[in-house]
Amino acid sequence: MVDISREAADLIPPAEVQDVDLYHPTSWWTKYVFCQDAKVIALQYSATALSIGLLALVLSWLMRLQLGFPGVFSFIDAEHYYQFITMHGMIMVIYLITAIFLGGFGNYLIPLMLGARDMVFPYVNMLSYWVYLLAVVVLVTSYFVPGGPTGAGWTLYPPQAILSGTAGRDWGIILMLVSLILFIIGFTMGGLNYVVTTLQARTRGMTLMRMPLTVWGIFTATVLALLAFPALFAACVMMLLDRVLGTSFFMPALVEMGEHLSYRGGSPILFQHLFWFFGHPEVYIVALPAFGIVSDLISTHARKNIFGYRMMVWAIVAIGALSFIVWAHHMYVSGMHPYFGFFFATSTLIIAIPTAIKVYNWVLTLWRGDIHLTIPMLFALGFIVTFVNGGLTGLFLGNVVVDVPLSDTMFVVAHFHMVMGVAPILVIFGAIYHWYPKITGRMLDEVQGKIHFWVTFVGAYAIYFPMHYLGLMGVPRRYYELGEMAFVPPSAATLNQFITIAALIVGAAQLLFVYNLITSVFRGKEAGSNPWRAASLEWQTPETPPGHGNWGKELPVVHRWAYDYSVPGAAEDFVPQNQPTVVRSA
Amino acid sequence: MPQTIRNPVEWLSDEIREVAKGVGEASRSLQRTSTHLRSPPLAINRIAVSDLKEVLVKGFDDFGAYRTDIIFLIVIYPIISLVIVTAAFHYEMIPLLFPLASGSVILGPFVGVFLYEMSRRRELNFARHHEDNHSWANALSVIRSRNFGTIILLGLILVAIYLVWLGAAWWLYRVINGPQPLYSVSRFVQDLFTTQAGWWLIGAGCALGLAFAALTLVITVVSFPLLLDREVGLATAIMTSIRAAAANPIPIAAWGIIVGGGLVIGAIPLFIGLVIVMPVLCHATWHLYRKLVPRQAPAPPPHHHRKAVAGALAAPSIDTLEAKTDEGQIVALVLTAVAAGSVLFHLVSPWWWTPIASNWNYIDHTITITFWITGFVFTAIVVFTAYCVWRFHHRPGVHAAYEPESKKTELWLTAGTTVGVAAMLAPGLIVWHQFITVPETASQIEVVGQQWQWSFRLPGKDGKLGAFDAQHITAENPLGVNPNDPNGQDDIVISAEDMHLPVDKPVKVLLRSIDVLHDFYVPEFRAKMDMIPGMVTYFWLTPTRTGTFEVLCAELCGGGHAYMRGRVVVDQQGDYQAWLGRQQTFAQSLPAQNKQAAK
Repeated sequence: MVDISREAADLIPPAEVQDVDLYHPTSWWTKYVFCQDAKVIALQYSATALSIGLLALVLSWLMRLQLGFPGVFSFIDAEHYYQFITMHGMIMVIYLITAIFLGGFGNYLIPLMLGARDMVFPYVNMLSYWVYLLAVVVLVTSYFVPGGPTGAGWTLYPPQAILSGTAGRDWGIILMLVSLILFIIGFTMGGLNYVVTTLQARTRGMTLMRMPLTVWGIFTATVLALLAFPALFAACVMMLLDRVLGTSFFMPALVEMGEHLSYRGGSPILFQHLFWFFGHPEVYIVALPAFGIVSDLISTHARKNIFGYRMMVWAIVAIGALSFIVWAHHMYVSGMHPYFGFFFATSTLIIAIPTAIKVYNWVLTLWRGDIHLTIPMLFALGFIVTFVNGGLTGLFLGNVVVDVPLSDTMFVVAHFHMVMGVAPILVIFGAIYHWYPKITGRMLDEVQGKIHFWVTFVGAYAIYFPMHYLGLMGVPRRYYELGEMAFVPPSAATLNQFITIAALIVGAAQLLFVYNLITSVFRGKEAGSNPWRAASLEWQTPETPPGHGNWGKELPVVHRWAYDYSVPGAAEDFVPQNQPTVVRSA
Repeated sequence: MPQTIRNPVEWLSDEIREVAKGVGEASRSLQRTSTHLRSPPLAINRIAVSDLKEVLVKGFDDFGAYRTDIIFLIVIYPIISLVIVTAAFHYEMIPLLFPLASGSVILGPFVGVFLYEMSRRRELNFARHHEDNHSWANALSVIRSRNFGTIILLGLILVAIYLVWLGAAWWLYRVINGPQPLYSVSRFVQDLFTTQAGWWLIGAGCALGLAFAALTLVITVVSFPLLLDREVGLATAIMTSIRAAAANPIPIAAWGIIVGGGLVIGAIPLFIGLVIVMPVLCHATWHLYRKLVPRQAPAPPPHHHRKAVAGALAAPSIDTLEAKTDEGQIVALVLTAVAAGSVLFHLVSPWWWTPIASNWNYIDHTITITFWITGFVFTAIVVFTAYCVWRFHHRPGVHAAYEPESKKTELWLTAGTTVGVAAMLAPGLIVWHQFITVPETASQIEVVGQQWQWSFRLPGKDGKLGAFDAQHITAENPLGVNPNDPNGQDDIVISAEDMHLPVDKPVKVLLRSIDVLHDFYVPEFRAKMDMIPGMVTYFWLTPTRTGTFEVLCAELCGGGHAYMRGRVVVDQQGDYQAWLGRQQTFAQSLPAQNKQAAK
């Protein structure tokens, strides 16, 4: 994979700068708080996302307590329950997973993996984080206003989202919409950075087809997000107007609790189209970075090049493109024109093909590899199992007529948690275990990591796999309590208790992870600059952790792709991307 | 020097070719035993039917030596059978009951591996003049066998054969009997033995079953013990087994009859006899293997076999067969257990769809097809991943292959996936077309949702629903029917009461809401659709059995969402008419002044 000869490479003048050109921060505030270094911004993003994620985790416990032991916890009433599910869903999807993949991993890895000094617009990048933080603060504020946060479900479907039958109608929904609008503004600033940096700031030799798949995943996801979030932005603004000024974008003439309201002529379905025009690409905004990262984890820890790199890139791009024409598969039973079903079922099942190719290529990378069962590798394996499981149940829900009995049941809940909850979060964990040594210079504790992995993987599977069968039976989602249902046998209550207990255990394991994350900064084993013996560029920095400007005085020159592992005849089982020639074994 | 790299698909096809070639070679080598073109296949003894007696005696002997402990292990087998039987009842798939139970014999040789290992250990200890502890723990040393992965792989092949058998049996049933629903076990048994189709089913089913049994016997009679005994690859094991059967057709056939007969006899007293028959047969299988494959035969030179490239180690002695269990094996086992546990959960869990009460059993069928395809893919991928982890777990000095891509493999996998996706999509779209095509004969009813209750409206004698608008909604006219529309006068409005439907009559359900989104959902009907203020949505169905069914709201509609319940009663025609006769019309329900205003 070398296309520059040794001689030619020697003729390239080094890209040298003087320290003064790097504009190093001079004060404590500009170094650690209002910092423009993408790596610090990445950590700020990640810390904020993980913190708010812990809140969502606690909410999921409360929900599960109610579902597993209805009536036992009297402080959870129906309104609280719907507030829990709404906040849990919104936080997990937007404020945790999207933020940590793009704002966290994107900021940290894009410049380092591409051999750039930083993002191209550092100031806007910093602003992006602070607007995101503001969005999170506004969201949390909704717990302290009269009526509490909105209980409209994370999909916020009107009319109920802004009518009085729903919790948080007074303030909660307004703060939710404002928070989303802020998030989108903040994300747009960051997102433009990621895209422009990827296209413009790659170091010499780093062609697009030499980029690690992590960058491909984050880059494509960012493009999707930049195109998809505006639809949500518009929907949020319109709903805010409906709620505050009494406009009728989404509100038809209706009678609420016997009272005629003044709305006329709006369309609730229009909101659903806007929401899912954002919402489905959102699934891939979360999934594509996970796809990219897991490819790199598998390749590095199996000491083998990723199988079918070009196919992997095109699959990411194809999935990204297709993800814009499948949104209405969330709306098969919404009452939209039934003929849409033919088109959206077909496009949805077509998207399974590039996705399947990715799965094949991951397992074919394992085939004849030299598999090191490190913690990142374990998480990658866990990802494959849960993603394949969740992806395959997607073929039920994507196939329009099969979706009819299953939609709005626990089957859907189990499906999307498996495919865009558990699977990407396992990748996030694997990625943190993988890059933590680069970020801190120390390893995370391995024993704690193994406990964390096994409890999380097996536990999460035990939560969501049986849940599909509750849905198959017909148990609807978003039910505060099942109560008497003739078609639901009493044994279903036992299953719900089992799921609740599993959820409590899995949640507790995450606290162990947080403990590990914090204590290893001080007590972790020294990692050195490249503990995994990885070939991609971020492991070849002159300092660990990398300093401001990443590369010291001279930028690296890239000579090969990021996957030269176990090259036949090479002395080492990896060849760094910036190494001009393969060192042969004697 | 870089080795040529091959991916699993290519490898598999090569393996198959190898086996085919091996079979051809085997028949040739039987004629000219002295000349071999390539690696010498394992030698095979010719045995006589009378040898089987000795084999059985030795099997009894092992059984006697181990018996106290063995029973514990063997109980598992009948339990599995009983579990499978329960699953069949639960599924209401009575026709699959017999194939499920009888087919589990296909898995027998795999389960028996533990007993082969016990016999092997006993034999080994005799040879060394050691005291034998005769502990069932001997069985567990299978796990430490270097061939454990291959044994699991062969086991999975048997599982696949089992699944194909179930599929074939089901297909046969559908071909012969057609897709009629079943009502009871006794009805099924009666049909089976009293109708011509029933006898056809018995005959064809048994013939088909015999073919599957013969296939299993031929590929496993020697392969499992051989894998325990020596370091050979999967292809060699299966090939040797096939050759052994080819060389001794009559004794092997006799052995098959003994196995089948023994199991039938053991199964008659409610499977209890299996506790004796199974272990004896398993132990005897080990000794049969000893008869068929001579002990001192040289191990095949590995470089002649492609699988040697894929990883089989050089031929070791019995003593070196036990390797330390490493982390790779543990991870692989857990992954396999996740896949197997999922399949098992699917088969035995008591949570399944509620019995259908509408014509939409096509939807259930599409779900079943999807379960088969996705279940197969899931198991295959997870087990393959587990195999990779087990097989390619880091060993000092071993490097990974360098394999950037393989266009051929990727093309084949893409094509295969496309076919699988099409196989699910096509029936789905066909059924969707039916779902949205309302028959001309369908009568209309209207369901109206509001926070948090259900109301219904029937079109009355004229068959036409009156117009409605939100502005007409009052306490007396909760559904907002236009009081000036003549079509609406004879409409029947049912608030906060059960809705009734006649059985076997197609009905178009018109759905609307007067406040927020709701979703009319009756699990037994399999159909559901959102209800939207300002719009009318619909679906249609034909109720197929009488009964009372719960109506749930399936679209979050505020704090009372979980309590928004109603009931639909499906009646025989007579009962339905009687109920209908008791209902008031819209005009009758309005207070007098409204009626005058309407005039």
